[in-house]
Amino acid sequence: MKVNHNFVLRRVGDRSVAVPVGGACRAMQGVVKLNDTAALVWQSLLDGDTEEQTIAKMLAEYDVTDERARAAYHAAVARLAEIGAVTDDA
Amino acid sequence: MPDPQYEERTLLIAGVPVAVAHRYPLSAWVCAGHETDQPTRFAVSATDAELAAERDRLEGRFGPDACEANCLYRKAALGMLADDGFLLHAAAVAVDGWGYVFTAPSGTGKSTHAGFWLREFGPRAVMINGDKPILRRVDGRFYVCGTPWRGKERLGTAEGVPLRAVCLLERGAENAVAPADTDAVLDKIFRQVLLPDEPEAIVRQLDLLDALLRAVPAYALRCNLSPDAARAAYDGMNRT
Repeated sequence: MKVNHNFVLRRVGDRSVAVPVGGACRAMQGVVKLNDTAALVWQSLLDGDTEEQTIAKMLAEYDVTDERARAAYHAAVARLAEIGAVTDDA
Repeated sequence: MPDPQYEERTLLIAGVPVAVAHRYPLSAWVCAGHETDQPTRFAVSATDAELAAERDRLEGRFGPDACEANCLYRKAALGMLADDGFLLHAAAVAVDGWGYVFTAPSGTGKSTHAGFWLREFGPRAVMINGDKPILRRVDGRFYVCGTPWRGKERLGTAEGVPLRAVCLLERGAENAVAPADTDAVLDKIFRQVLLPDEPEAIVRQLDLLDALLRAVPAYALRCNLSPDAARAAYDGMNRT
């Protein structure tokens, strides 16, 4: 999985938003609101963490089971893929 | 016919001295009365390529003078980020020295609603800017400021006033005002600001929006475009 570094991720109020860098990209995508889980996952991936390291961070942050954390991780990655923040390596 | 030559003057925009180099008479007219002899913070001008891009963006509907005026204001507004200022597509009025900004997509009735406030509050009210004021944070407090770019009616002042409220305007059958949460603001406000292309500038803009949301109340205003909408909105926001 590749992380697209052409976004700015930032907290505005009590929400995380992702802003594509560059007018052309933004014309296609626009500004995206992310829930806290997606923001955590994305920041972790931007920091170079593996899936397991990211899930470990989620377990430290949220009072959830391992199974729930993994499901939330995959849902977050799917959301990030939708907006072009992550892509498959292939 | 030779190309027009650049003229430069330093304007005070939202308290920031900006050197504006322009070639067309419209910009000279816009700038008149806003000159300052303070040292310049930054300079803006529009190249031929930028004018051509602006003309394309405006679908060829405007000549080089209007394109230049637009370009210069956009560049000045983006330059303001370094001084904690940013453009908001809004109508801004002040009542008793406190600023209210009404933001909404074009055609919703921002200017009409602002006009109702001027009518309702008479000498207590003044138009700050009818279309694109600058919001600026100074010593931790947000101000809404007029600018030289204030439309052909020249409505607005150069002054800045402390910002009392950000109002998300939409049309409704009945007048109603309620506090707006972060989600409601985020869904609307990004279309009403200029988002830069460079990451560092984007971060500055987002951080200013974050600070704005934390410092200034936001309200959802439903207005039926009747004059009593102004009193209803004001009373709703100033209920003790």
